[in-house]
Amino acid sequence: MHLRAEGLILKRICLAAALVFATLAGAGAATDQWAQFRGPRAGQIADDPTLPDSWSETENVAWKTTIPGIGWSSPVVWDDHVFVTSAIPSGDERAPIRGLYDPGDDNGSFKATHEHRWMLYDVDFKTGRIRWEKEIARGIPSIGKHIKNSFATETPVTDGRLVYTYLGSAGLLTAVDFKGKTIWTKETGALAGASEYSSGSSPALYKDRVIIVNDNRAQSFIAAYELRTGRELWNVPRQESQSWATPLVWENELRTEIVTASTNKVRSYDLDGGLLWELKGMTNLSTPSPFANQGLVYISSGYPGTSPRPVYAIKPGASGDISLVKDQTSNEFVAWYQPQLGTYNTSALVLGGYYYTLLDRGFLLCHDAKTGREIYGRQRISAESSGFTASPWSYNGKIFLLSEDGDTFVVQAGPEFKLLGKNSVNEMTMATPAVLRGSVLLRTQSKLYRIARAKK
Amino acid sequence: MKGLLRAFVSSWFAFVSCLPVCAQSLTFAPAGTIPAPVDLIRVEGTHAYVSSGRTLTIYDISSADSPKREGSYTFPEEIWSFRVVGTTAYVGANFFGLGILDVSNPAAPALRASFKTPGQAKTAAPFGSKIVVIDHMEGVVLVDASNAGKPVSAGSFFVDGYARDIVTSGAIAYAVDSPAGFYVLDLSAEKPMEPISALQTGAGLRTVEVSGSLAVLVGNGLIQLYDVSKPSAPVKIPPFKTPGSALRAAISGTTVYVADGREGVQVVDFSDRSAPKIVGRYETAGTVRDVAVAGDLLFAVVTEPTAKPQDGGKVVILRHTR
Repeated sequence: MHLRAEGLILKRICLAAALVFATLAGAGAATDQWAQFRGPRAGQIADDPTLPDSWSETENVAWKTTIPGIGWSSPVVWDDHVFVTSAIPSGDERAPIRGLYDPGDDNGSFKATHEHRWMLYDVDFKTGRIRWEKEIARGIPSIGKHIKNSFATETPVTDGRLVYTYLGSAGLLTAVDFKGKTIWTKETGALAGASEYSSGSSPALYKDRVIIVNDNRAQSFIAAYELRTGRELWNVPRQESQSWATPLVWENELRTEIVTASTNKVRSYDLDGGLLWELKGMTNLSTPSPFANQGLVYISSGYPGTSPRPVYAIKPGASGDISLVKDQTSNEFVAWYQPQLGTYNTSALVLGGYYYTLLDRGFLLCHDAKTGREIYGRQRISAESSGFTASPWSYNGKIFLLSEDGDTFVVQAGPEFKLLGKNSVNEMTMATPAVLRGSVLLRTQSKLYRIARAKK
Repeated sequence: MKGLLRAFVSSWFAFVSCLPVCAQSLTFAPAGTIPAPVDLIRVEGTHAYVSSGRTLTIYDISSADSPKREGSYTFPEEIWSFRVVGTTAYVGANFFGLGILDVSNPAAPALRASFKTPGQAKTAAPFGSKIVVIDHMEGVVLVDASNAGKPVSAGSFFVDGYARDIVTSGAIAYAVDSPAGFYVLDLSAEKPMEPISALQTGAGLRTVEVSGSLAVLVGNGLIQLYDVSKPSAPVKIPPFKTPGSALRAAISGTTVYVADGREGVQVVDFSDRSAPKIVGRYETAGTVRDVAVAGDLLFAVVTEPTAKPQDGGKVVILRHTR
């Protein structure tokens, strides 16, 4: 009995180690797998001469596949599996509108009237063939949605064994294996945020757990679930009413913590849900996701209808309330603060010591990532573009900026702004692409493209 | 208690609205109405211009007791706001862009030209052949309409917040954005899209009007005046809080007429800038969402008490006397 118990323990340790290895491999490998929103390095992709610089609807297109319904979630990729989510209405619903949109007297929220099917697709990386599709839920969404949002905006995550989808509008966290079989489902409730804009915060993985944040007007929470079983490990209430930012598992030099950005506060939790530090001073719609680079974590919140619209760079090791007081631009843990740099939807990009801000209304700005000093101010990307929601990405010394028109503007990285080109697929897009193995997986309103250099 | 009061006011409004209303030092007497639905109103000379949805309609108000509908023009998209100068209406028509409407023949307004801005066009104001347009994406867009039939872009000024409104007084343009920007542009300057002044105002101000040396910013229950005798250095005057939600305003001299939402129309006298005071009030059961003034006439767009914010109202024309 004793030996058997020891054997079981050893087996579990080995399994855990394997899982840790698999997870770290996914998170840390340059661009071999793309397991989460913005990939392993928040949009920074290792240089790869096989990656394409130019494309169109037909040029450098390895394949394109129609994905039914609408989903602004990003594709994630593991080996030959490309996973995307979507919500398919059974009838016509209001179409999304490009650009920064003022809905006027109503707030842009509306209730869907048709039954929806929340779907997960597994697309073959090589061919674009839909390998399988899985209906995760079906019903009329009970919560409202902003006209520009989708009911499948959360990007799934995968550890190479299962793919985890969180669909806030359906109130379900689900683990599906690579053959399309549901392993477990956790009901979290379809909870409306204060503005009824539907959800968007993607799940995050860390070792044996998946972490979700749902800020809503009923009971906001952050919770962790066991990957293998879906068992809730902890659930911590939050004093928030809405947010769309994806939590960041920040493995810094001192510890690993979970950083969340929301309307009232930025909060960081330990791996058991204990609050480590918090920071006040956000705008009332908080969408950009925290990300880390070179020992700092970056927070942005820039709803245009409020002021200030801050960006914070935070050092590791904080505890308690680290909010800036009046007229402060830094403190022991806030390395720098810019009061008007925050973005509405896009997350920023740090590359080569520069912090690049893509304003939703089509400007690029560059600041020193360590100090916040301006390198260049607002640069108009294109007079014709209608707006930007997808977050920027980079490789081969270039920054890629995908507009809602489906135009990817290519800008040179570095201290001087220079527009190098434009690649158009002529369809609305708000999803941030996945980039790996010489390919850009770009999702438009109706299609998934694998863009790769054509073989000569 | 408040419900009872509202019910009483509502009944009064519905059935006794023809009686004069005494309001402190101003007295209003209903003169006529323009039927619903109306979103916004401007008055120029003997004509009232009202928008509703995509349509701009012109009324002859020579006789305020019986306004006469003349003609209308329907844009492809919703009208956010507009201004009328002389015989031209400058219309912010959402994604259609700027519409330049010839209203010299009120019976048959004609689209003279249009200009597509990057986002949703909200409103516009002219200076000579230049037109400044408020665009939700871009901020302030300058349009050169020297070639009347084919206006072209002549630059833009990006505002950080949501661009809301613009008005011109001669070559000087005054623009506001939400939450807090107030910008002054000199359209006669070599670089007209570089503000000669940019200030942070109180929060939530959405509209701007100008009269003489006063710029009046209104929104969120506040009236914020600036002395713009020197446009490059506006001087902030202490804000004035109205009883209601202060949605829009019209100004005549130093008197500001405020569409104060559920609190009706408030008339505020700013002749003593340090001590502004309410000198008149017109109570309504519904919401007052816009006002215009012309001589002794006040035009108030009043929605029904049960109307949603997006529903239009009717125009109540009031004659006021001191």
